[in-house]
Amino acid sequence: MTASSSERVPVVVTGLGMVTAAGEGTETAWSVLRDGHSALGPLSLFDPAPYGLSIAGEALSIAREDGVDRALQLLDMAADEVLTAAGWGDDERGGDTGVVLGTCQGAIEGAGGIHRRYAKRPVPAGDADDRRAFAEYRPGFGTTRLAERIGAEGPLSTVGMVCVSSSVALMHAVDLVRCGEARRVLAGGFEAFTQFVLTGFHCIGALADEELRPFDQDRTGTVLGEGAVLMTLEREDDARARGATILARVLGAGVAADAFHMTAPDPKGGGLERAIRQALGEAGLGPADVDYISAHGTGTVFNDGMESKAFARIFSELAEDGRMPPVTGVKSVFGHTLGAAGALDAAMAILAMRHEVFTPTVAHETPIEGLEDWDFNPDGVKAAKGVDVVLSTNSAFGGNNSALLLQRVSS
Amino acid sequence: MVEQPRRVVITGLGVTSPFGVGPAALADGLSAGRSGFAALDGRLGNVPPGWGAQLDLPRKRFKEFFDTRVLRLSTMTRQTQLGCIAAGDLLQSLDMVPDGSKHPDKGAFLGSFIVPPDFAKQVRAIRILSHRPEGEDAGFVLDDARLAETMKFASAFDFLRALPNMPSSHLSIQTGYQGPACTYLGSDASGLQAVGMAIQTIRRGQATAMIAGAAFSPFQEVHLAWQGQRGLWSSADLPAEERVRPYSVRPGNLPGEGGAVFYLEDRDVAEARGATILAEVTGYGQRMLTPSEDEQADVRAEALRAALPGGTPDWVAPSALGRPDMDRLDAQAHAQAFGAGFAAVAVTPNIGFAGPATGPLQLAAALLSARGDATPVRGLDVDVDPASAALGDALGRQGAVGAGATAVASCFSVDGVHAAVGVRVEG
Repeated sequence: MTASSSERVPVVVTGLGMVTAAGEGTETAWSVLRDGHSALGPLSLFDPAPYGLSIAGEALSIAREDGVDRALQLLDMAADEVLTAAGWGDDERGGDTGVVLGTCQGAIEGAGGIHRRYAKRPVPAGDADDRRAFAEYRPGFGTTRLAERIGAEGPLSTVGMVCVSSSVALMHAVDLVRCGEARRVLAGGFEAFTQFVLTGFHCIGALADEELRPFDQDRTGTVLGEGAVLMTLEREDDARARGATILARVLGAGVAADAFHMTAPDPKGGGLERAIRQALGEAGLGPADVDYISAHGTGTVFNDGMESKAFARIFSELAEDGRMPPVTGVKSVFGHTLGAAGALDAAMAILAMRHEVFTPTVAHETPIEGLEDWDFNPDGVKAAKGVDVVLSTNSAFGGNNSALLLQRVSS
Repeated sequence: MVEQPRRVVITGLGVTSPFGVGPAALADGLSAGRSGFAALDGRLGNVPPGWGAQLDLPRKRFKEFFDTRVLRLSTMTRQTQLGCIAAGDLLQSLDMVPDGSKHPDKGAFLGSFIVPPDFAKQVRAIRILSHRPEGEDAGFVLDDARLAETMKFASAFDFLRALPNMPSSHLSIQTGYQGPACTYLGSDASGLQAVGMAIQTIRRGQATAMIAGAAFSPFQEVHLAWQGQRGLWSSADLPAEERVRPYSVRPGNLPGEGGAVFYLEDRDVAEARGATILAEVTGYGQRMLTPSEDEQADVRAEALRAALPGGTPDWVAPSALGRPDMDRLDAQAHAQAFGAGFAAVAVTPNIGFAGPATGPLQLAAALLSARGDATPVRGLDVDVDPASAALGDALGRQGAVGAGATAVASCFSVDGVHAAVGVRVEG
């Protein structure tokens, strides 16, 4: 969803920061994924018995700070890392710097408390804790907090698009830089694991019985996770001028709606197909230029089914010739992090390109019927020399789809 | 060769307000100086301020616009309902009622706020069935021990309808718009942000038309309590219709609900289909407020100037929040950006403060005023706050109307975002 190629300013990723179920830091997350392990573990934040579940992707290692929402703590930790990694300092403050974040529920942890207190009669007068909880409950609070922290006075927005929130946030960030509304943007997403959201997913029937198995014939659903994933995006000429490490270049992006139904995606994957074709068109690339697909792969029957159908149509000629690019998913390692999922998928794809490997699809055993020839890379990390372009896709309830094309940049 | 950004025009306007459905109802209400306020009933009546401006939602009209076999109103939160009915009325006025066809070149952006009434409704089944009374008149507490038993009664819709992307997703589903769909969260400015981002989307050629704006209903206990703690509600011992006087010596506001959505189009596309062009967009400005107190008016002024580069508007439609500190900054910014002489319009004295929908409702009021479709009569009938005189004195003033008249609507939020949209009326 970006400007036409004739006016496009190259935008690059110069820093990553994250906290996931694997723990704090990009390297921690990468090593767990690279080694083919799963960071999912026993659900411990509340009683799992009513849900009939046993696992979740909780970021258990985070050091709790009293009085600060869990989602905001995740965000703070990711920010610590990304700002250091990118080398952003005083020169990156001010009106040229924007912040765009995606989230599904924002800082919701304290909300349960205020909803319970304010359901009572008479309505309480409110104290300082209430005022803080109310303030944090605003969905844009995390974005503002981050902007204030880094001194960003440029464009600021919060995208609430559930599972495509952070990928759409990255696209907005790219647009802002390309169109000159900002020279650099801190973008990504954050989401905390909460009983509230788990209850909702349970009601939908979207949770896995046991394991999350992306693109597996026997997949039964997803496992929820949590995390915060941030990237610094800036003009490539700026990044080169300041000697920054360039992790990847954003080649193209696409976003499209199914306009189908609120409870299920277009079973044919029409919206996702349009988003991918839009991204390819913007990048001036064809399907044969894609070396690797980092898929949404939630492990649900509907998502993985429609996603594979969209891929099948776009890459049909390649598949017939046995040149279908590998398709992998990371949610069986980190869980479905909702508002952070798009940025996490993109970040792992960037790392895979930089390390010249295909990451494994952990817990995948039997491909969906008809896709037996596709390479989901279930057996562990594989060397992949010359992987230059990766496609990262996401889809959301309500029928929203996104596609990002990222390119490896040689140092 | 660098492509020039597309020009963006407004070819349609949809409104839901306490005065009814449609821009004419809003224009008539403002012109007659009517008040939409009434005492709140039931539980809401016990939460300050006890008054608000609500709409008797014409549910049956939904069937005029949309296929209820696809999705019923009961699958939506109230803010989604308000937005969809506004959009339906808009599309009906353009003879574009959805017929099942799909439009990959059109999209929908809406501003939203995650809190009310979604949260309570979202867990309604669980809330009802899992709560036990905590003494007479003491409300209810969640009984975790009953959660397992009662979760089976909750449906997928209980959760899905309240997801933050549903306002725009419902709109894309109902209209068949398959282009970009996005819900912007934040707080008061997210409605104008959605309009601004839709303008940018068309300018960059990413869509030929967008429905954009916001709808909101604040009538939920927690939200009313939050806004009360923000110091927003009027506690004056006055009739409701006299309580809201932004930029005056009388502080405070009252809650209101409603929405406004605009049909934004690539000018070339609109002209090619022979559309009636209501106005051309002159600009969109958005600035993050600096933490520096001294510079806040400057930053707001920058956003205002970006909405109408190099010009002075005939009409402005500012935040009209009714909180003296915010009103003064607002007035200072308008004076810095545009000097004096403009007319101002504010819907909040008539229909209250509707969170993220206030900005789009203000833009609708400004557009209607500049076109001469509305003649807001409400000036301040109390003393102007001298520090807010740039806007207080402008309320009730008449600006130029008709082709060439300009208007700038703006909104700032506690998120620190200040957003402004400018338009120039066409004949």
